[in-house]
Amino acid sequence: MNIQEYIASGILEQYALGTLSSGEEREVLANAAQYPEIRAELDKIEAALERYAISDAITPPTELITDILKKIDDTKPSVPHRRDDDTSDKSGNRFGKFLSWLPYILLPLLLLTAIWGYFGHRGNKESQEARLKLGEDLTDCRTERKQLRDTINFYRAAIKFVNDENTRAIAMEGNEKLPGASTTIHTNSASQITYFAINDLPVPPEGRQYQLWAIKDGTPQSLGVFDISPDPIMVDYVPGLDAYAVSLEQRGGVAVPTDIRIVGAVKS
Amino acid sequence: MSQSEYHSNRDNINLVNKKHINIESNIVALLKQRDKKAIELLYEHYSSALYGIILRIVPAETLAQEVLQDVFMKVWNNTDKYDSDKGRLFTWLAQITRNAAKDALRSSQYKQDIKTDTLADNVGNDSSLSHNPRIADSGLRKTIDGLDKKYREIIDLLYFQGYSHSEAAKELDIPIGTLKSRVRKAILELRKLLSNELIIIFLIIKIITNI
Repeated sequence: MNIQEYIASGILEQYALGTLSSGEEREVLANAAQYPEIRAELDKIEAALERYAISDAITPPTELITDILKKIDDTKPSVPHRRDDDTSDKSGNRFGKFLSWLPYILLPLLLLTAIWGYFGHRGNKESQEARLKLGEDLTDCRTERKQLRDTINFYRAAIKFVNDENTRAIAMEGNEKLPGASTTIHTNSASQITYFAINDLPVPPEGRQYQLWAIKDGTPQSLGVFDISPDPIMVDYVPGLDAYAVSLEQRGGVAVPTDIRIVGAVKS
Repeated sequence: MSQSEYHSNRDNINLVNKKHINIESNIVALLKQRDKKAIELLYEHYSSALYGIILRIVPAETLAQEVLQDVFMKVWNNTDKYDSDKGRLFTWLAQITRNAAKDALRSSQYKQDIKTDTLADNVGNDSSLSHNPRIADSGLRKTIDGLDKKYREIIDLLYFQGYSHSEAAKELDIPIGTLKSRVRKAILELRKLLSNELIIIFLIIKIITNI
């Protein structure tokens, strides 16, 4: 802002004469507060007008001041009463003042404590839940590890079993009803353990199940029904067999095979 | 006047101002404390200047006295509305006074319109107006009388009678732009006259103290 231009505009004179709107007055006061040069100029203008008013002064009747003071005394209870309270408050005892402020100090503290407590509790709860979850996870891991270890041990044992000099592998192949199907019997005469492994076998139709048979002297003996599984299935060891066979039967198995699909002859 | 004398005169003017500011800040402080002494001091220092303004607007003396009482009550009840950032105390007082006088004039004219029979009483009171003693020292009056008439009437209308710019322009029959630029010139002239006056006062004080 150009201060000289502002002063020359005459707005300060208008302010001192009281001819500005209240909005314009506020603007002048703001500028006067910001720029000391404007404040000084305004003060000179006001002082000149004050002198001008004094030059035209007329003494009012002396009794007027008595009337004014009496009027002030009369209105005192209504207007200045609150002010009196204010001043007594100011000079009043400090402890009382402190007490009056106490709620303003304690309330935020209380709020802070409550917030801290709430989040603290929530935090505790959260970490407790996390601990439980971790515990569960750990148990799961241990279970899974045990299963894997068991599986590994099983395969180790299986490899060892298959490679054992007393173990014989008997290949079984699908007949004309199930061409391409293939299963294997691993049987160990020393340990008297027999495993049945599925190499390639179609999923049976709905309501039907495969059944394994041990055939000795022309008579089939059931070794049980089975579902398609990648793992070898341990079956009863039966010595002196002629052949192994797989039939497709109704679900749950039958006493005598009705529909043989796979056959593996035992070579002596 | 030599250069050094001029400067010492300036310093003295500042001293006069400072003394005035001390009285003013003292009154303001007392007002803020709700001390009735403030009203007594206000009355002592400003009542005649304010009464002069009122009588310019309200010619009836009884009504003018009521207005003056009203002004002091307004000051007493609105002390929280004044602070020194607003400028000089007298500027605020003069504003309150002009407004109170204009309001009183309006309502008294209204009353007179309905009760024309009381008009005679008012007129009777007005006759004493010419006997009002103008208390200002003759030196100051002479100084102010030195102000060009075209400037005096502008200040009189705006400052003493509370005219708006447009009202004053109409009254003086000049364009509002001319009025506004003349306002600044008028007050600059007034300031020039008053600063000379203060220098004269200072010289008189110096002569007296030298004796």
